[in-house]
Amino acid sequence: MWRRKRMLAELDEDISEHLETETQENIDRGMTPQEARCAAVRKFGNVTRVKEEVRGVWYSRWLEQLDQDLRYGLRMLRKSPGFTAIAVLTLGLGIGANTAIFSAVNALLLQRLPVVDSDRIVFGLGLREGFDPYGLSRLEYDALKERGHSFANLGVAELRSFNLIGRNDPERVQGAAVQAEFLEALGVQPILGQSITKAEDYPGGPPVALLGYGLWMRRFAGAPGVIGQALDLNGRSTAVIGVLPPSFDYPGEAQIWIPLQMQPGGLPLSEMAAHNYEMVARLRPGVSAEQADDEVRRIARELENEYPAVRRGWSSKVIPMRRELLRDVAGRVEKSLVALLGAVGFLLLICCANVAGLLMARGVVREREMAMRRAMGAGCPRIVRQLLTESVLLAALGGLAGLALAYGILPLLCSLNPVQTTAFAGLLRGLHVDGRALLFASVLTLVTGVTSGFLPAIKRAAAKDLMPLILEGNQRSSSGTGSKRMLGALVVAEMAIAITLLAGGALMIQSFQRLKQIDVGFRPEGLLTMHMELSPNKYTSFPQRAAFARKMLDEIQKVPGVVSAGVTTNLPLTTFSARDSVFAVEGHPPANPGDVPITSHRLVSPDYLRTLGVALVEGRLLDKNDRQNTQPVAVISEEFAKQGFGNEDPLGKHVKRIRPGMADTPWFTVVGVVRNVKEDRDNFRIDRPVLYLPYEQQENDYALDLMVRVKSNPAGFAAGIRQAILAVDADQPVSNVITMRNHLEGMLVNERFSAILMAGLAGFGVLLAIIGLYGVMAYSVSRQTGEIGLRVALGAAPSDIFKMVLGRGSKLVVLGVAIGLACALALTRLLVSTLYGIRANDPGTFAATALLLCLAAIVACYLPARRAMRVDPIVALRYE
Amino acid sequence: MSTKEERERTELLQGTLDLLILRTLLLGPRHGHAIAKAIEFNSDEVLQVEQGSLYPALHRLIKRRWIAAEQGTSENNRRAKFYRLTPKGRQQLELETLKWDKLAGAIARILRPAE
Repeated sequence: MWRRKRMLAELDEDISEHLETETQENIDRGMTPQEARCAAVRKFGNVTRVKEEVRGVWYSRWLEQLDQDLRYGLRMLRKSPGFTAIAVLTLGLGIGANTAIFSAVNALLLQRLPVVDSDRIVFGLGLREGFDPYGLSRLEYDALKERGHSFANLGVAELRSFNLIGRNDPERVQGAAVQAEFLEALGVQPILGQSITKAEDYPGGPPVALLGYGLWMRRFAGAPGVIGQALDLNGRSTAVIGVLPPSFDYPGEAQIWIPLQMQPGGLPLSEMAAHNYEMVARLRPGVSAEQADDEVRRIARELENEYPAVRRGWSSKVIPMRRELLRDVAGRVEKSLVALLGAVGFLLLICCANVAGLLMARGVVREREMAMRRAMGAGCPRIVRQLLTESVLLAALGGLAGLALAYGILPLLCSLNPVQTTAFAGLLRGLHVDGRALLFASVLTLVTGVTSGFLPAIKRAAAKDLMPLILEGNQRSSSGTGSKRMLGALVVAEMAIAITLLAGGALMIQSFQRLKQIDVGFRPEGLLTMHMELSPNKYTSFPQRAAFARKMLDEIQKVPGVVSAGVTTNLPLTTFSARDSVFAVEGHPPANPGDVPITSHRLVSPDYLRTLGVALVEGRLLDKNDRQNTQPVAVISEEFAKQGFGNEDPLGKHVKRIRPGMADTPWFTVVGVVRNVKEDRDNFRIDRPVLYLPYEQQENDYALDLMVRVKSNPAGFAAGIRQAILAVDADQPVSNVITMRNHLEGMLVNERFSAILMAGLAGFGVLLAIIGLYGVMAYSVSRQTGEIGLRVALGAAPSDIFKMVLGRGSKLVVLGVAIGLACALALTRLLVSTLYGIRANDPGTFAATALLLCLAAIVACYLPARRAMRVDPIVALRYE
Repeated sequence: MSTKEERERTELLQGTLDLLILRTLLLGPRHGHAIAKAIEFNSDEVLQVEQGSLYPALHRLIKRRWIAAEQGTSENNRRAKFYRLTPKGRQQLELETLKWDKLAGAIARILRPAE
């Protein structure tokens, strides 16, 4: 570098030294000094060309021109700071918003997971019309294993949780019992020790466990000596054989994995049909996820025919693993992310159009400069290149501003928490600008620079007749029509895009509002919930479990500020609620033996429904007198009453549970009907019939969910309630402590994320489009000052001028709105599956959108029109 | 410079100027003007470069590190830049000379096949 600089700096000196020596020699030969000098110069040749050639040795010509263009561009930008600031901010907004949204898409849809080739992994679901998806059953697993040809590996796991007892507090740790093939299919390797293999995974195999990296760090400080140590898991001593890599916590936040040690067969049909398994499978090379899904569905149909008693109404499905992680069976998350990406792309288009407009308006001012350059011999491509360099420079500054903005926005996006995920949460929730996002931003910057600069540059460089441009001192009335038309087109495009964005945003916001206003059927304020699993080693019999629940509820009632407390076997609106079964209604045999009502049943303590705040429609709620030895009773939901009893009064009637492969339960007498409570998380859009049975009357070993209603902010009661639980059993872990409000908000995270972002993008889009419109109108008024002055001088009334300007503006707006409405109608159709309670072509929304934009546009035209009205003809004409 | 003179002079082949400069500098460091003079003189004024074209060639050689430039004083006591051959340039000169001989021999054989 320095060598190049020095050589070039000394070149002048060298040349003049050369010439002087030559001159001196010529003088010595007898020439006059003047002749001598001339001859020397002649002999030397063209000094400028020599210098250029020498420069050419050191610099490539192209780079040098780029350097020139950049310097020149920077100078131009510095000279008009107002223009630069507006353009950089506009582009920054566009690029920043795009980078931020891309980062979200990147994290959710593109990011690598700690699983080998995660795109080739599918997840199995058991489906039943109208229910949240289940896991797969043993029947399905066996059938897939025997009859399936789509999978290279296939393994199942059961979600488990463990009471980990040791030196520290008793702890509830999520985990899974996995087949060796499960880990094999995922391709996960332990970072320490060894994995679960066939050597451990057989019925009656050794009690061993793998630890998650997080748990290993937290509980064992990352000591390698943990291998071979024994842990107390659910009261069973289990040897640690390995540690899995950081950020691997599949399935479902697992931190402990034990071998599944599945029974070879001979199980009762009811157990075979229980949908307990999480299945992952690696697709055989060349098989697509869709093909695999076809096969899985075919096998499910075969099973339905073979085992009608337990399989009627069931089907199975495989979905790509990433969808499963995002809890996105229907692909809504993907769809809304793509919609957002599209919307933010539109926003960028508006930004580009605005900057193109600015550049074009400024280009008119630089018309003479460009004409002069052309006249001096600059080629068309050279001028285009120079102007493009300038606009790319502008875009680069915008890109920097955009990156800063993206860094600012990301924490906000993170806090909106777009996904409901349990496994790999750290990876999927941690949005950041990584290498890929940076690359995206850079490409975007370049494209933006070229896009926004292209029209103006072509326009400038292509002017045919140079002389008028050079001579024209007055730049006010000349060469208007071409750029006027182009600016007009830009405004129309901006209006069209803005209305598309606005319509999309309005639809999504309304859909979200409607989702939020869904009546959940209970009063969510002031509720705190917790989850508990009773260790089967400590609570060996059901009466012991029931006694624990009773004692615990009594203790919690004593905590100051607690209004009431109850337990259930399933919180409303949780995923994968497995307590669903088939019921029979006395006196109403179904027309088709298979068409029995399928519903949810919840085993609840006496105060549960009161605590939840469910309204009683008729009869009574469950109470303390419904004991193990009293008459079996049930409370049903309105939907159950409607489906099971039609118009009859259900009170005093009987229902029972049908258990495939087992004896039916005795008849329960219906004692009350309550309002519908939303029980399904994924299917919350519909009401499912629900049956509430007294906990103590139904022997079970389900986990307990605690529901506590308190007087004030429920979050503050967590510690006190936990204390009360520990007072009953000091070894009882408590998990998932969460307020009902937070629980509900978690349900709509994706909808909220999309709605808020879409609305934000639409808002910015409209704002920018209006600014663009204002800019173009103001600019054209200032260009027409002379013409307006003339009109006024010839007798035009100010109101005529006002109408003229407003007329031109509204023509553009109306055209833009019309085109935009057509685009919006076409594009919002893509949102159909993400919308709730509103049609994608809702006429009211479209009308309101158009009206809003028109009003805003009138404001944007009004100011320039008023200025035009006040043009003083004398001043205007003198200026001419 | 008349047109007649021009016709009598031989145009330099591409790249030969570099070779000539290297050869000239083999005799010792020189400044730009002296190099031009030496090339003219040693070729009996048949090869007459436009003196200016010497400079891009010099810079090209410097960039390749075949020659180096340093400040010195010319015969008439002026500050002038002296160019000298580097060891790398010396190697290159040998290489280029060999190549040149080969080329010249080959051309000669083609032009006078009988001899």
